Amino acid sequence: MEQETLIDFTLIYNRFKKPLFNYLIKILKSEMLAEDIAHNVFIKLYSNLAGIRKADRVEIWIFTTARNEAFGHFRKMKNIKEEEFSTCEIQISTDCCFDEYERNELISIIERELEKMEPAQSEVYYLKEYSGLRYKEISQIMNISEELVKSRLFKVRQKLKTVLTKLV
Amino acid sequence: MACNDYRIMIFEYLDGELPGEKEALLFTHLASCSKCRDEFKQQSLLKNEVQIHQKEVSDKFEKRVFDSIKSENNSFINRIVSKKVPAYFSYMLGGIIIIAVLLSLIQVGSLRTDLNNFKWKYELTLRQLKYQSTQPEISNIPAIRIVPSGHKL
Repeated sequence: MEQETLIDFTLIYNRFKKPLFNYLIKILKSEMLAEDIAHNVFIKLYSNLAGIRKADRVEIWIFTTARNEAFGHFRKMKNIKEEEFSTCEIQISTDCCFDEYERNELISIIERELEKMEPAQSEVYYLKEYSGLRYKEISQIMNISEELVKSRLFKVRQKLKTVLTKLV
Repeated sequence: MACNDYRIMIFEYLDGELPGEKEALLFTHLASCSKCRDEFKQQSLLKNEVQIHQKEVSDKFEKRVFDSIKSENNSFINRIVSKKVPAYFSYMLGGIIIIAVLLSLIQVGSLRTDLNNFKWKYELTLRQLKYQSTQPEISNIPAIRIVPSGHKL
């Protein structure tokens, strides 16, 4: 039975490790914290796996728990802000990296704009883009209506498009 | 339908949420509207860039998660709790608990009866003692001499 649980857990872990980790990085603005909280979420998932075996509920459980853990951390830390970590080194060389540089610039601009937005709006965007959850699932996690999810996503995307259009 | 409505459909399509029957409607409009086509291309590009730039989880993190799970599995309590027990064992245990509860209730009932008896006897004893203390002593009562009639004192 233990073996079965471990196999199920490993499958779920491999499916959600990247989206969860990236979602937490965006919310917490810290890779280290994101790792800690993702670790806690996966340990809780393993302990409760028997109770959340229905495939369609696992995603919601994972991201709801991650969200609760992140907000719990915020409540403890109050206004402590982490320094932004450097994502990767931008290497400019004569080889192929001009495109890579532009891409990194684009992502930096997107992230900066998202940080300026209201957390409720950017969070919907992160949940959609990084977790791949459906509108209905996001509405359940955030406890808002599906229409509100769509509306927030629409506004965020329009704002990002406006900013990027101005730069071009 | 206005272009604004089609823009919403573009987002729904890119999010994988657009119902199949509306896809044809959307692409028919995109074929004829350059503004919406540009919107589609821009949003599609944006989505792709965000998806590509997702960080990978480090090997150290994976090791940490699976090590924590192993240590949880090996903990003493977990070994005991996770052991499989046959169903009849649970029923037996339940039966024993019910019998034990009933017996203890009976014991409590009989104990209560004993206590009540004790309380009654104690009160009776107290009343007797009180009564005796209120009675005058027989030695204080003057003796009455019974003299037969005609006998001179």
